[in-house]
Amino acid sequence: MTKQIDHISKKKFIEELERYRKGSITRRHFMNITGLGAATAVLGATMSGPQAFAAGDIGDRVVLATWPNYHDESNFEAFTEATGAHVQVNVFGSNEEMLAKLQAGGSGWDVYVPTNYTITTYVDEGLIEPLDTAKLPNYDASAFDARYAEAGSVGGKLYAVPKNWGSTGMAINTAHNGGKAISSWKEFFDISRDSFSGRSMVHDYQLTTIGSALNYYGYSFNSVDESELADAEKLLIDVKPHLFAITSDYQPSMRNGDAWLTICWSGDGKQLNTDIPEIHYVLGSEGGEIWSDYYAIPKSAPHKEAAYALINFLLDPNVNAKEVLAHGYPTADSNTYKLLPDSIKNDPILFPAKELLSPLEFGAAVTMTDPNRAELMARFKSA
Amino acid sequence: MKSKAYDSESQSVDRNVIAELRDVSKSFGDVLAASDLNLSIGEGEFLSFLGPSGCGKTTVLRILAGFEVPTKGEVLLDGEVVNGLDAYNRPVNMVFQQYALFPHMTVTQNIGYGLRQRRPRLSKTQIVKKVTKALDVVQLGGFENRRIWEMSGGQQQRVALARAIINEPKLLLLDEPMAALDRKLRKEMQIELQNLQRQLGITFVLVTHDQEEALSMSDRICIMREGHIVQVGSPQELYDRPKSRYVADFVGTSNFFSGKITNLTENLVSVLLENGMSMQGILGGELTVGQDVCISIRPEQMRLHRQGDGLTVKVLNRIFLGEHTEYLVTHGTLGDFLVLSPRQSELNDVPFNRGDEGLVSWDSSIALILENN
Amino acid sequence: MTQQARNWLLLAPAGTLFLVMLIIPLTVVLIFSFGERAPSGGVVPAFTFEQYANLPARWTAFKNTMTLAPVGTLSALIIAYPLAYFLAVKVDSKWKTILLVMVIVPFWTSILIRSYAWIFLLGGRGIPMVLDWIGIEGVRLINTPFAVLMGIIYGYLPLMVFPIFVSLDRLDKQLLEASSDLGAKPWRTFLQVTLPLSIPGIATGCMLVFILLMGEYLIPALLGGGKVFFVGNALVDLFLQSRNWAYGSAVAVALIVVMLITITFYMRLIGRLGTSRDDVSIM
Repeated sequence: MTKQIDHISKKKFIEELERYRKGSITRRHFMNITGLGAATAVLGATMSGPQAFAAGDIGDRVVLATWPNYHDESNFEAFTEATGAHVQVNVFGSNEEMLAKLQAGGSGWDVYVPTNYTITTYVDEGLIEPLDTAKLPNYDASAFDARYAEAGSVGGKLYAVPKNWGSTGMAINTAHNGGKAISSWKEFFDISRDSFSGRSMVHDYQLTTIGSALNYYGYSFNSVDESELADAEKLLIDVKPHLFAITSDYQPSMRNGDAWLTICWSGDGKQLNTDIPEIHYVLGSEGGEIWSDYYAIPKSAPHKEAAYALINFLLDPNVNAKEVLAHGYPTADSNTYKLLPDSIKNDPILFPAKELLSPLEFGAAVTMTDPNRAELMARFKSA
Repeated sequence: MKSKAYDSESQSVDRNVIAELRDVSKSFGDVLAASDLNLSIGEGEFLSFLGPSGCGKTTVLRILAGFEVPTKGEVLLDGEVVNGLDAYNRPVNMVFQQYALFPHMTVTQNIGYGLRQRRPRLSKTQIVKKVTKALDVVQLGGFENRRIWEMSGGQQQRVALARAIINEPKLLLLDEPMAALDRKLRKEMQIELQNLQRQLGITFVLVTHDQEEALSMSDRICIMREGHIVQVGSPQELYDRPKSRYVADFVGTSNFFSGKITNLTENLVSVLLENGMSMQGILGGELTVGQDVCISIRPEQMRLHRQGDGLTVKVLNRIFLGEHTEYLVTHGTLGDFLVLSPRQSELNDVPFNRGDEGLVSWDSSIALILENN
Repeated sequence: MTQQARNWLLLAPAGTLFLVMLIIPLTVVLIFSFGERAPSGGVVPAFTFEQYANLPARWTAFKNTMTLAPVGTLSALIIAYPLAYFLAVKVDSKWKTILLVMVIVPFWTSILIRSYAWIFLLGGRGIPMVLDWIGIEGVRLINTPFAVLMGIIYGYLPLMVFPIFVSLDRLDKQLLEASSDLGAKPWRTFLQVTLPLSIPGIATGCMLVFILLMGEYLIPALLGGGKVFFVGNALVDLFLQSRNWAYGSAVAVALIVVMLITITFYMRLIGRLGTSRDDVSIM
């Protein structure tokens, strides 16, 4: 009799664990195939994590608001060991949601991860304060590619330091398109209404969904022009009956074959492509989003010292390299880049060719606060 | 179909048989609730099933109603086997112990319920007419639109009665209908029920554990014990000529003296009692020499006096009951037993008091020798 | 302590909760609904009916809610009633408790996790694949209104089963025998006795499910693929995405008003139907 007591063998489990650690599969996929999903979901809800054994100067914990699958857990453990502060993680799905939570007050966050275009709004709203670089010795401004770091400064003051960057394109399962990928938003929306009807997805996120529809007409991804938005709305409402879903959690449907095409962030694209090679990640030739995420500290942060300590820890190139290996998103920090293996440095999904990146735009602050874009998205969803 | 309804000994008039049980048994799992029952019920008769709880009398009623299907045997209604006939297809109605009136309907709606189920439909006016008449019969005129919970227990029982008789059933089954009423009301209802039965001519089948109720109302009583019919007969028959100690004990009160038959002659039979005394009596059933028996003597058939022949006893207790006085006496060999003395003899003689000595005597021809079980 | 003082003391915890958790938030929502959206989200105080004038923009969400809530309630009722009837009337009493517990057990797991199970079941590798094997091809279940209805019926079934079970369990079984005895066939006994006497349970169950369905947003979001849009989803979007608190408050007030009107109408209807004495257990 074999010792295979679970539904996958020990060897396979270890392999999957390694792939998970390398970031080639998502946490959800890992849990699905190993059967750990339900168990950890329940445990995760009830366990408060290790209690600090020795509360140091910075206190016994730090609360981090971030995105799903965006960190290496072992780095947090190392941080706890070094400082005695336990890292409590809250996960969010959109910048709008993060802003809503901070605006409502009482978030309890010490560190959070806003995207480039939202930072001015936080500054205007008085929700964040300038960073004291003296408390961030690992922050080497000169090491960062300015393109991915400049949004952190507003009015000459540094409010946020870069975390990772990426692009928003599309993922297509080429098996259903005669083995061919597509290369434009025009094709995306056209085949969605034709051969891919009922098989494509857009984000439940105004910036990328409206942005892509604007790109279809050759307009700017960030447009708030009323007639251009009207065109985008017409397109989206026309496409809606053909959509499989409006969701930002698109990996499961792409993986199980229910959906064949989706608006996609580069890291997810990388993960999908690694596991299912016929799923290709491509950028739209008309344009699309390039983005950069940052670490920032809310004014209301209850554990400010711990917040600085955590950011400083994560900026350490050795720690940061482990982060990149875990989640697969590139970093703008040249010191960290140097530590990465060539396979990642040469990856065409993570580091696309310059000419492919050039039409992409950073999100504009106005898109987040523009009431017309918000209402357009709502009309589209309720149509 | 015209046939003789009962055994000769029941002494009842001949009636048409309306219902019949033939070798009927019913078991629930391992429990035998009714065993090999044979009984004919005559048209227009008032029959009671009497027995302690758990004797199977309610099971018989439910078999007649169609709620239970017999495990074995046949049930006949009006000459036809109805074993497989559902309750809703039987011309039989029941008055439930807790009345089972529909709480969401008025008095009128409850009473008219059975009529409304008829197919082809009865007209509204027909139903109203019949309901009014039924209300009249149970003296509930004016309560038409009352809600059930606005009625007293006695009134509810009348509604239940009206709801059943309005359908003019072949059998009216009554499951301990008086159990929920207080004593005074119960007496009144007993008389009313009897009048109603005579007036309507419907066959009544009553289940009760109250011997007084059964004795006062029934044409015949069927005594049950542990799923068996022990004896069937008119109230007088059961009282005067019980076939077993069980019946004698259940119907009325009696003094029992256990022993064995020593000698069987034509008239009087001698019994050697366990205490060594010998006593004589008449046979109450088919018995043989050497059989374990008991002698049953009703207290009112014994006389307590001061002169003449008799057993010498000592009075232990005296209870004045109005038309009778009940004495608990004790005898050196026979032990304690009861004697009832009519008021008249008390007035003629000097009454006995506790501690007095007296003589007890009886006529051997009323001492019944019965199976001792 | 006087009787009156004691009564007040008994009411104090619930009363405080009611004030803090219901009256105050409702007042705040009402005040917000007359305000305006702040430039970067939130609300600025004002007195304008602009938000209410804009309500037709969420007409579809209201229409969907007012369709799916009654349809969902009715579907749950149609499925729950036979189940409750079976549990209360047909099942041997020794199995009753076990079967009842089995009805509740799914409630021990969060609706989120259970909905993910449905995502798999209704997805391409679930039921449609099985149908495919037996020759029924091209069936789409996930991300359709049908999937949302399934999820709703599944999620709310126990809430419907329990009140009906209780009313049927309390039903005096002798009444059913009495009806049969008086000549009613089983089906007519059900219509004339069982059903009318279980109306209080039906009314309570429908009320519970209906009210909760009016505010439902999780199941349509998960099983409807974001394409089946309820007022609940509109509210989540308005408060968590576009941060238009003023308009969100107006939509919330409108939902409450619609709910109150529906419930008032419903109570009248039930009042006319349910006539049995103390059994009218709802309000």
